[in-house]
Amino acid sequence: MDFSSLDILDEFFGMGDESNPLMMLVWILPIILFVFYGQRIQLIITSRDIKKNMTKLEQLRNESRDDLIDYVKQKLTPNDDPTKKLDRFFDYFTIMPVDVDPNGIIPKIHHLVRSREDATRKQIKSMFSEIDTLEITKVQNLLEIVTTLQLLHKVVRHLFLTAKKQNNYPLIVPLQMLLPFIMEQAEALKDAVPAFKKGQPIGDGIGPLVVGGMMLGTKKQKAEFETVYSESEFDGRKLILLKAEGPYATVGRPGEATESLVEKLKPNIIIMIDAALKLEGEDTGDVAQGFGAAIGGIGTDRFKIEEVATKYNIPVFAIVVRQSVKDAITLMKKEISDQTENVRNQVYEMITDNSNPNDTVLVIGVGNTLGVAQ
Amino acid sequence: MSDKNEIITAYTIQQCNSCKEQSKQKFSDGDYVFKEISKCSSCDGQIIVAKIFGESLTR
Repeated sequence: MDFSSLDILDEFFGMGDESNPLMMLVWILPIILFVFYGQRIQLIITSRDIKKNMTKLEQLRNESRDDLIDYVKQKLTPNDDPTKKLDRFFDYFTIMPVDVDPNGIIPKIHHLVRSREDATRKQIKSMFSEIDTLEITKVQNLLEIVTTLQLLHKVVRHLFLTAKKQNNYPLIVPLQMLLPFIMEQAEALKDAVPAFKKGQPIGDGIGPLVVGGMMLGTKKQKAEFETVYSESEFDGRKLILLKAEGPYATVGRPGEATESLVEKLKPNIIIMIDAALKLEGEDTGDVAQGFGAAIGGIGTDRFKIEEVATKYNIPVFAIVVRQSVKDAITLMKKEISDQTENVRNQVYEMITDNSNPNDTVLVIGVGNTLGVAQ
Repeated sequence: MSDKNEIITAYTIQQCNSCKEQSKQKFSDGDYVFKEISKCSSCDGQIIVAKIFGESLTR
C-alpha cells in the first residue's frame, strides 16, 4: 500500500479547504473569547503582577516597622512596651483643608503640618523618661517612613481590590502604570532606614553641608525652632548663613526663619542651596544654577520665602545638586559629597556676580541636616 | 529598583583645619560632619570630620 500521498493535516483539518467547520472553529473561538473576555484575561494577567508587588510592599512596610520597634526597644529606653503606641502612630492620617475656595489655604496647610509635627514630637517624648533631641528627630523621621509605606500599601491594596471586586480592567490600568514609581519610592524609603538609625548624612543634606561649612567658626544664633543662623563676611559683603540645626534629623523652619531674618536684616539677595530631583539620563551630583526659591516639601515654606522676597523686591537665586529620590533619602553618595567644595565656590561666585560691596546676602542651606553640624 | 548585589559602606573623612591632612576610615556610631575629633599631631590644628559618605561595591 502507498502511504506517500496521505496528508494527515489535509485529511482532518482540510488545510486546503476553507469550508472545513473544525478549522473555522479553531479561528473563530479565540476571536469570540477575546472579544467577550479579553479584559478579564488582561485583568488576570495584570493582577498577578500587582499582587506580587503588593506582597513586596507589605514586606517593606513590615521590615521597616520591625526595624523601628527594635531600634526604640534596643537603643532607647522606653517607659513600657512601645509596640502598641507605635502601631497606632502608623495609622495617623491628615485631613487636608478644603480647597474648593483656595484663597488663604497656605496658612491652613502650614498650621496643620506644624500641629501634626508638634503632636508627634510630644507623643514620642512621652514614650521615654529621658530622650535627647537627636533621638527624637530620628524617631520622628523613622515614623514618617513607616507611615508612608503603610499608606502606600493601603492605597495600592484598595485600588487593586476595588478593580477586582468590580471585575473592571480599566480601573486597574492607572495602578499598573503607577506601580513601578510607587515601588521605586517604597524601596527608597526602606533603604533610608539604616542612615536614619545611624545618624548618617543623607543626599538631601548637601545644602546644609555647604552652608554648615561656611558657618564654621562663627557665632550661631537661634533663628527659629531647630533652625540656626550666623553672620559672616565675604569680599566686603555681609553674609547671613541659615540652615537647620544639625546634626539633628530635621529640615528646620526655613520659611519662618527667612521671614524674620529678611524683616530684621533686609538682605539685598537670597541664595538657596538644595538637592533637586534629577531627570533620567542626568548624573547624580550634577550641579545647576537657576532662579527662584529652591525648596521642596508641601509648599508652605516656599510660599513664605516667595512672599517676603516679593514684598521687599529681593532676587532669589538657586543652586541645586541633582540626585534621585533614593539618593536624596539614603546615605549621602560620594558623588554628592564630592560636590561640596564646588557648590561652595559657586555660591561665592554668585555672591560677587550679583551683589555689591557693603550689600547683605542671605545664604540658605535647605534640606535635612541629619549628621551635619555647623 | 535597588541593585541586590550593591553593598554600601559608609566612610568618614577626617581633616585637620590647619594643615589639611586627611585620613579616611569606616564610619563609626556618633560620627557627624564638623564634629571636633582631636588636635592634629603634626601641626596642633583641630581635626574635624570633613565628610561622611557611602561608597558602593557591586558584586
